[in-house]
Amino acid sequence: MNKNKTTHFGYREVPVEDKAGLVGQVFHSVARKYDMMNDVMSLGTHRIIKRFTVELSALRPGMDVLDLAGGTGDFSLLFSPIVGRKGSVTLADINESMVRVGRDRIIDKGNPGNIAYTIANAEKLPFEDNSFDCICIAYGLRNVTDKDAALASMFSKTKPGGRVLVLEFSKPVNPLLEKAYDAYSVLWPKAGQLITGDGDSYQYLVESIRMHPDQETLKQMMINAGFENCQYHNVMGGICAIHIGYKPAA
Amino acid sequence: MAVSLLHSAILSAIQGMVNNLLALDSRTSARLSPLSGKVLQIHCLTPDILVNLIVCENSLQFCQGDIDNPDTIITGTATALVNLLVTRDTSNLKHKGIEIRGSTSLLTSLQEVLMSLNIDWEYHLSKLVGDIPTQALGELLENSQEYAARAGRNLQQDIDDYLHEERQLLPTASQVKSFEDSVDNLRLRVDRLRARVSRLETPTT
Repeated sequence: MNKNKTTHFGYREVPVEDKAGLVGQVFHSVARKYDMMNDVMSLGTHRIIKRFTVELSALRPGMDVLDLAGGTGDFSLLFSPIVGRKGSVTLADINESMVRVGRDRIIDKGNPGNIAYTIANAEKLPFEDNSFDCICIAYGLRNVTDKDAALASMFSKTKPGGRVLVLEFSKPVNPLLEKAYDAYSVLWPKAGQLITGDGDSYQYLVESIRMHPDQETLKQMMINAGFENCQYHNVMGGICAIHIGYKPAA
Repeated sequence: MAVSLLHSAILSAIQGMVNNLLALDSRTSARLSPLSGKVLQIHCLTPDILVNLIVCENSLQFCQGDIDNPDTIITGTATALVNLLVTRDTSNLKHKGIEIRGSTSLLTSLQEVLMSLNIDWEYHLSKLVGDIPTQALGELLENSQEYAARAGRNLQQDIDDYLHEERQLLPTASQVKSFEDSVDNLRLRVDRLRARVSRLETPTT
């Protein structure tokens, strides 16, 4: 890898090879209070947005799904009853602390028995090609150093005809809403400091959201990765967007 | 068909209620397992809503939007669909404004699962408030039901007496019967008379 090559970490430019470690520190720091902060920042709406995403996954019993950047297991817990014992859910995250919190939480909720856990880098997914009917990455792509590599990796691990869902913060479509949202998000580092004792991580969150590609750019990136019929649903006026892409059937 | 966050929120609430109800019946898992993986698509015409009901091992998942190859598709107005939900009679659905494509057995099986829920409320309540209050509450409920049924019957009898006997606004059952008999008798006599006249009008050879 070129040592001089840089990428953004929030508003900062950092060497490419350092970003994963820096993101790792952020999530290691907030892992235990991550769910509580999500409720605070989204005013609880993240739950219904996640459910909406699961609806768009069109999963059915017996399917195999990868919950990429699955963190504290919210999606895995939603996918699990749908795919049932004949299907499987794989919770993957690059951050060990998040996987630990997710695994403990799933066990505390009664462990449905069809969820596997793995620590994995989205850019180089350690699975056989054509393994999953659906791959879902929620609020994770933003933190990946090489997003194109991650999308390419997801493409190769998706079964032909399967789909990939990307839930991510995006660009509000209404300028007034954008201003209101910007003003609101300024409060997140302060809330983060108060709740998790780590305001810097939430400062990174705010910055990384603003640096993330907008809806159309991400859609084009998915098309470039090989996905077809790519489309996106704006959620809450574009504060979040759910992109869907399909791997062409063989 | 447009999918929305609001519909998702509503479906989430309905799904939660239905699954909580299903979870109270210990036979749910055994009844749903054979149907696991099947999809019932409900298309409401007015208002225009598309809901998929995915049968899982011990729960039902509600989701919106198109889904590949549903096993059964039901189309109808909101009123017709609600009627279908509450009635056990699934014959002649076309006349009731319901169109079904695909397997009808999924529909009847699901209807049966929902209609024959056998929930032991006292068992579940006893886990929350304890055995003695549950028994007291159960007895109170049973007595209340008996009282309500008796009061209902008495009220019906009182209204009946008032309308038929005191105010004489409506005929009694025996009066109606007598009137019907008289009408029948009159009809027969008219028929006989008509036959007789007809015979007299026929020229003799």
